[in-house]
Amino acid sequence: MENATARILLEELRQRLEELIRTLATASREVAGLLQEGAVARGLNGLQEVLEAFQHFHRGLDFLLLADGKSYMFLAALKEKLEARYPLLYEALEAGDTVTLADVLSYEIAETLEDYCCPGKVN
Amino acid sequence: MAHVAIEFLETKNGSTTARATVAGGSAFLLHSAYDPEAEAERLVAGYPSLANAGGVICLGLGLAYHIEAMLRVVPADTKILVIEVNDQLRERFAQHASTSTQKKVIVAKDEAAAKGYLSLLRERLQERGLVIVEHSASIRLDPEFYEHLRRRIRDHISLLVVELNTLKTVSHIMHANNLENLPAVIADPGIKALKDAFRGRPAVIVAAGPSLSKNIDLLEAVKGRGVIICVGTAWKALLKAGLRPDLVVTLDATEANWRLFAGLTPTEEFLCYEPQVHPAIIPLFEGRRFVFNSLKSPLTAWLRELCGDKGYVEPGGSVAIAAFGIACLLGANPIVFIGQDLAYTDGYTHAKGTAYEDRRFKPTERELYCLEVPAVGGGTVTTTRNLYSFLTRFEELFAQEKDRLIIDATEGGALKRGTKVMTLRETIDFHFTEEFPILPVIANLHRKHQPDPFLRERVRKELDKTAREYMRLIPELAKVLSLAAKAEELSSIAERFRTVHLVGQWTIGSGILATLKQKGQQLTRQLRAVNSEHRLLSLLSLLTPEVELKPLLTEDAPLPAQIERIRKVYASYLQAAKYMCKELERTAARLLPDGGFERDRTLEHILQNQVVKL
Repeated sequence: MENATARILLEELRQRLEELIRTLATASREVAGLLQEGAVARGLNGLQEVLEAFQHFHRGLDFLLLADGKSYMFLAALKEKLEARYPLLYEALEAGDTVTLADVLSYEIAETLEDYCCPGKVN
Repeated sequence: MAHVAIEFLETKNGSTTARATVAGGSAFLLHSAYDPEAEAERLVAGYPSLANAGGVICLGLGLAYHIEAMLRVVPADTKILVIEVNDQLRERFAQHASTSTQKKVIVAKDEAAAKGYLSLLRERLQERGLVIVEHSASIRLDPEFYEHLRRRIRDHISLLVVELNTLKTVSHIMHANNLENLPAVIADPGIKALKDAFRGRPAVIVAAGPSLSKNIDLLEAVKGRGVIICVGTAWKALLKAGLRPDLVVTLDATEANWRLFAGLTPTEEFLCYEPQVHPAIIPLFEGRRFVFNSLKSPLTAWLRELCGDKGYVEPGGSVAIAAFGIACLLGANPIVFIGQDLAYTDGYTHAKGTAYEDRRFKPTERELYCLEVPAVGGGTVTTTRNLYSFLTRFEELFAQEKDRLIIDATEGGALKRGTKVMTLRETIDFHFTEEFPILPVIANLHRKHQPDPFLRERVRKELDKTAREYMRLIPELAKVLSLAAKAEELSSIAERFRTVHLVGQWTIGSGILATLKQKGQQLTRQLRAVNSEHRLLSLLSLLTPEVELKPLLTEDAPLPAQIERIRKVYASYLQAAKYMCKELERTAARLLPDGGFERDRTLEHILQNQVVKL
């Protein structure tokens, strides 16, 4: 693949990932909302879908960073921040602690994603 | 409940949350560690009906953030009942919640509080609805307890719905019947005359469920070996099968109940009736009747006091429940049920041979009125909300009869906790083995009844006196209503002036309203004074169930609403007072020694009087 073509494809991927970041932020808040409203079963179903979407996001992100880590340092920082929050999420999920799940989704993950795509946004 | 450790932690916004650690070491938060207030608002936003709720039951207290949020939404007069299983959380609420919050919130630890709350607020709940809010994190403290609680709340609601619907549908007929049947009630022996007459002897209760068709033919083997108590609906089926029961039980006030008896002739069987029963049934069993009391309304309580105790049987809305109470009163053991499906076995509602033998369950009703319950023999069976409430009531009563063997020989229908499931064949072979005198014992106890020769006259005088008290109230009530009409007219003039800015707010309406309220309050005091002697207030409230004794609105309520309330409440009182005055006078006249009762007691008269027009 020629460099110019590769660059275009990588940029396209970045754009897609950034769109996904916004969607993931909204979805994380929605799932947190369901859990807080007491719609636990719906919330947990939603969470499963969100986690699958995160897996796709990370696969794309890993590809981008592998192809050109230097150009996408800002995404590497986001990846690091998100990865630091997942253990909290899995721990809460394992304990069935829906309150903490909603907290992590809303105040940690959604905020981290929103800080990236809409810096300075006040929730 | 398993041990739970509660630890309190500061949240990121400076509030407090709690972490629960349950047996096994699993720990979880009860509220957000970031912003518990916002989280609570979110929970409450998921219950939009709270804004108009007549009552709220919340499962789980936690640190009460969601309770505070609910209080900001519910109507000012709505109290919230919170059931919290954890002592530490309840204690913390008692120590930390503000006085104003505590005034509007009842915190309890068990289902008894929910039952009391639902009974107390039943009219209001029917009008404005009940909202059940679940705090899911708190429910994790003891999921089994809360699951049981949900079930029990549902059961209590079912019972209340049935009771209220019955009351609404037939309350006026019940009152009319109670008065119509009074001469018979005064003269007849009470069911308590049969107390312990068959101690330790078996009895079978024959209900009219579809499974009765399976084993009705075996019942002949029971005759003379056990007391056969049948509900009115099953009587026709028994007669068709060539069998006479010992006792027939009836309590329904409606004409539909009379149709079950019409055309049938008792020979040896005795009737056990509730005073509210359709009056045409009673003369069929002349000289072969026992009275039992099963209702607790103010009118029945008053009449019961006048006539003396006849024997009380726990109510439950179903004649089979009354039959069970009678079997217990007889001292019977075991008590065997047949035809007691409490469900639509094979799609039928009743047994063959009954007046309803062709009725089939309509599948279109399934979604609204039906539920599936565990069935005798495994699997589930479809039942209705009404039948389910009877099932619940039976199970409550069975639980109180630990020393008595209760056998369900229905061979179908809903499984009943507290019963031993057997076939009727097995039951007969094992329990109905010995002959003993039944009808002679009942007849002998009936003969022994010595009616009080002065009771009829005493009751007559009391009815007459009470009718006169009503009579005195009628002009007073009319005065208040006339004043209310005037106030309404003035208020509407004042409103027109106000809108064109000619006079100050409500000036004209306020003066007359003050007089009106003063009059109304005077009358209420008078009603209360009379009530303390004759229970008139209770009688009035009973005849106006849709209005009840609503208090007058407070000064800050809008003027038209205050007048409307006064008009509505006192119009009902007036209507009820006129009706009661007329009915009491008529009943008193029938109790006169010249035999007014006997003269006018034709079937046509009785049937004509069933249509009570208020």
